[in-house]
Amino acid sequence: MSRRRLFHWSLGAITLLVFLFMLAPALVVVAQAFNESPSGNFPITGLTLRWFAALPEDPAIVGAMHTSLALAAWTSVLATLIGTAAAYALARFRFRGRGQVQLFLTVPILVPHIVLGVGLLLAFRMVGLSKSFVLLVAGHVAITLPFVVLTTGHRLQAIPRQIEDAARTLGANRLQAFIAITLPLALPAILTSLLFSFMTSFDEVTATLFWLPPNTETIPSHIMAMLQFSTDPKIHSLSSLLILGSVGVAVMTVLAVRALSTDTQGSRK
Amino acid sequence: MSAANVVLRGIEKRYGGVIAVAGIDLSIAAGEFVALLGPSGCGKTTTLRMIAGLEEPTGGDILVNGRRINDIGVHQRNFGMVFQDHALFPHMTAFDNIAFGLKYRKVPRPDIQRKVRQALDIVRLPHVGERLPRELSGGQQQRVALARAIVIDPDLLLFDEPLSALDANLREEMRIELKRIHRTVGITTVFVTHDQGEALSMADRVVLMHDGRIDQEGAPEQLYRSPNTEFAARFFGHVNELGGTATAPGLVRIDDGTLVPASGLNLAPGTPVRLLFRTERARVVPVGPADPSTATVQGTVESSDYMGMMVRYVVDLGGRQVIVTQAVGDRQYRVGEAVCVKIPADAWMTF
Repeated sequence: MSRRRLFHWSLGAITLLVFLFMLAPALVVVAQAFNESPSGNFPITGLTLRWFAALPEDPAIVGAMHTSLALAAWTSVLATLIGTAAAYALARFRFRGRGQVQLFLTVPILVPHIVLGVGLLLAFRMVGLSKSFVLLVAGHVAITLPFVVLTTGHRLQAIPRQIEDAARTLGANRLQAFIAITLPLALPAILTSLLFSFMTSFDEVTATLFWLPPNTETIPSHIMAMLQFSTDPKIHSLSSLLILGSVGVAVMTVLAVRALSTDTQGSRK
Repeated sequence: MSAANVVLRGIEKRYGGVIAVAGIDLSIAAGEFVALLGPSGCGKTTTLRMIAGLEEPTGGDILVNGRRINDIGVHQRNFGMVFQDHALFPHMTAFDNIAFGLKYRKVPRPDIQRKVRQALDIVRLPHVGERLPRELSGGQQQRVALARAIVIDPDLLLFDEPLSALDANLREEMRIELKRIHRTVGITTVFVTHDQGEALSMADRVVLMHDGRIDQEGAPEQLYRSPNTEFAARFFGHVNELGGTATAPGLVRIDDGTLVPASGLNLAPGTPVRLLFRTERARVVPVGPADPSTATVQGTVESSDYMGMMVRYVVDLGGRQVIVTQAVGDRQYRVGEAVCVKIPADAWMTF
């Protein structure tokens, strides 16, 4: 009995340590965001919201935030649309080259972002296109597409084809059957894809550095630039906001998926 | 009440080089209950799906009330279909599942209410309307699926092995229930199954399929009693086999030397012949004198399985094992006991 208790205690302690190890850097950043001292010394001497207030005053940060949000929005919507359509085709139809298409759509997950970054840039140069917002979006879609295809594909495969067949025999055409039956059942996966590709795009920096048009920064690339040349205390307040945002999105995703989920089989217990 | 007649004319389906259905001709009368029966891979489900419009035939025509429907989309055919795994929409209540087809038919709201209630009454589930499929038992799910298929007042009802996912007792109950509903609504019905018991007990006509073709079709008794092929004979339960040689019209000397009468068998003397018979056509009796109208073959009881109403004997007839199923009767024969097996002259099947 006491051995059992010891086991439980140590398990709890180790879990706590792991969480601490993962969260400590974030906590330090958040703490520093409220530090009155601009040099970021420790221990903290006084509390202030000054560094948060300063964020919207900085045109570079506002510009980078604008770029990042627009980029993530375009990327997530396009990747989710294309990825869901592709996953549907892969899950429902047998066609020549199906295997190759599936491989082609999912393999970028394994390709280092630096390779994607250089590769896409060279490809754009070869056809005479220069760095632009379009290139950025195209690149980010390529990076996030595999996640969408895998997530929604997995869910679509779990929805029995017979359910759609049933809807069609009852008078719905293919599109109506998709909208009335498949879409609601796949919605949790589609929503997850949307938010996940948004976050991935917002966070991506390695490949993005190759694609950024002149005089354009995203939030991650701007933070990197800030770190290189100064110890601007706004780094901490900006990072804190990003942490808050990501945790918020993650929690929202979990809640939304839980609310929308229906067992795809409708099966008996 | 609508009942349509259906004609399949040389229907075939190929997938690349693979032939799933190799030309089927079949007429189904209005209101008839037809079972497509066969082992898996015989093409029965593909045939059904072609009638439904879910698969496109690579050859042949499908006619409903004389009109060719090959090019009419699934959603415009007005056929109700019940699937193997009920295929209810998991995110909709039983009521919404049943109302689904009515909504696409632009039925006004009050009529939808009434028709759904009516359909739920027909399948004897008046109180489950607000439940989700996962809150229903297996049998209830299949009943709701059936209600969903009949509520649209279809010209044709199609069943794709609807009972195979249910357990044995429930299957039995649903058989009777389906039969009752068919009588009530009178819709022309095509029922796909691999279970001969299901086909024999429910259908007006059984269509036995084999390798993408119709092997034999007819009334259940006809298929059971007078199969045209050995495949048809063997498909409905165990068949015993004895070897022999024809000696005279209606007379065969089987391999152990016994002379047995076989009515209707007209082969040239000396022709080798295989005699088949069903387990329940023979009887195990105590050793006694032969009688000229019935084959009486001597043997030894190898095993006896008591099955409640029936006993199943395995009897060794001079090196050939045969299975005999019979009512327990006054006495049960012991393993090792010498017995006679009597087989009536009209029990033999030869191919």
